[in-house]
Amino acid sequence: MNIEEIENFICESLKEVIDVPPDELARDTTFDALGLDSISRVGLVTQLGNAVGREIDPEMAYEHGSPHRLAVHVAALLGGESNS
Amino acid sequence: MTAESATADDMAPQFTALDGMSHTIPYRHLVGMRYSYVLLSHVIPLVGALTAIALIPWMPPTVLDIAMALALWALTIGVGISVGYHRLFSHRAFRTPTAIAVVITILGSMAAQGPLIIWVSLHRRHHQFSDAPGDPHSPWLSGPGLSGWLRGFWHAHFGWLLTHDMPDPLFYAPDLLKDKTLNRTSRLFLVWYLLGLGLPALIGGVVFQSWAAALTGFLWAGCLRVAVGLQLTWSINSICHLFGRHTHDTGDHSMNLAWLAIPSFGESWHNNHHQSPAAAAFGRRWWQVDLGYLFILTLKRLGMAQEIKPPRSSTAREDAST
Ligand SMILES: [Zn+2]
Ligand SMILES: [Zn+2]
Repeated sequence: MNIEEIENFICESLKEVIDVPPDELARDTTFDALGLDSISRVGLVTQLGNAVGREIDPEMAYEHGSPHRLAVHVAALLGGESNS
Repeated sequence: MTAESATADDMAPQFTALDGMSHTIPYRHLVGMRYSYVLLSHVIPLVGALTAIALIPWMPPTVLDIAMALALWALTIGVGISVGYHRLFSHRAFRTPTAIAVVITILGSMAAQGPLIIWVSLHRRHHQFSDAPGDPHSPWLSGPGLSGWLRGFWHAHFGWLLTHDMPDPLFYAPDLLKDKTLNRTSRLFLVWYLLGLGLPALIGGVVFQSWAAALTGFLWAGCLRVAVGLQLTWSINSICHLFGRHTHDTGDHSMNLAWLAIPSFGESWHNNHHQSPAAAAFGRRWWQVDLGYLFILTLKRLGMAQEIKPPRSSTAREDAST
């Protein structure tokens, strides 16, 4: 998955808790602004990990706290893997 | 946003077992959070409760301590957990203005059973699987024989808190995550919980102008009240899926248990509840005392509860012995 596909996946996962359709959500909206509690963040990262087939450290949903930043991070992880 | 609309715009999401085993977070991701919760909300009140009892010869509780413990019991276990966390939020059994919903969430948090959104996620998953694999706290999934029964009891009562996979709130409680006011109130769980321990100490100390009265207020109406309340609610998970009357064919092992009805505010009519989870009332016969429902009717009288959902038509076997 590339960055954009990962962003789309994240926004799709959040569709029940946002006020706009997932494709209209600004990719740099912070998870704080969306009111995600810690367990929801871990849930999001778990779903994302299942989708990309690689476990992602739940801390990443704090360190990279928006769909865009998290997607960049995960894409880099995946890229690093396919290169090695 | 009108006063009535904010808290129950949506129906409680309905799930079927077909939703599968996904939508959970493996427990290993939440170990730290979980142990901090158990230490803070279980171990500390338990130690406090034992201290309260050990100190009786030197510092017996005052009448005020007992009165505060009973009042906080009714407010936290009755109004907070049974009426609020369970009927209002997990099952959307009625509607209430936002201000009332917030107060109820704060009272529920004082019962030390975790933040609203976590509790609701766990509970909706309990109903989704109810004694089948996937149920976070069924006593029926721990193997055969006496040892399986004993391990099942322990798991349903307490052990699950440390070992179950966590239902993903994004899937199980999006309605509450989306409600900014309730979301914020839920996340302040720790503040409300500590307030529930500190308030009786403050009241006792001020009324009697003594540190000793502050201490017994904290130990009895704070710690002991919390510790016993936790046992009560975990008993609904363990005992009410093991012992009692199974009047309705609900496909699980949920039971109606009369002797727990009053202290649990009606929660122990648990087989009735599994037969019709969205119903506000848990008692079905005149003698099935349901103090939680009485409170909802009182709210209705005051114009603060609407759309109170009735039970589904019953499949009860006529129970002549009652
Ligand atoms: Zn149950
Ligand atoms: Zn329920």
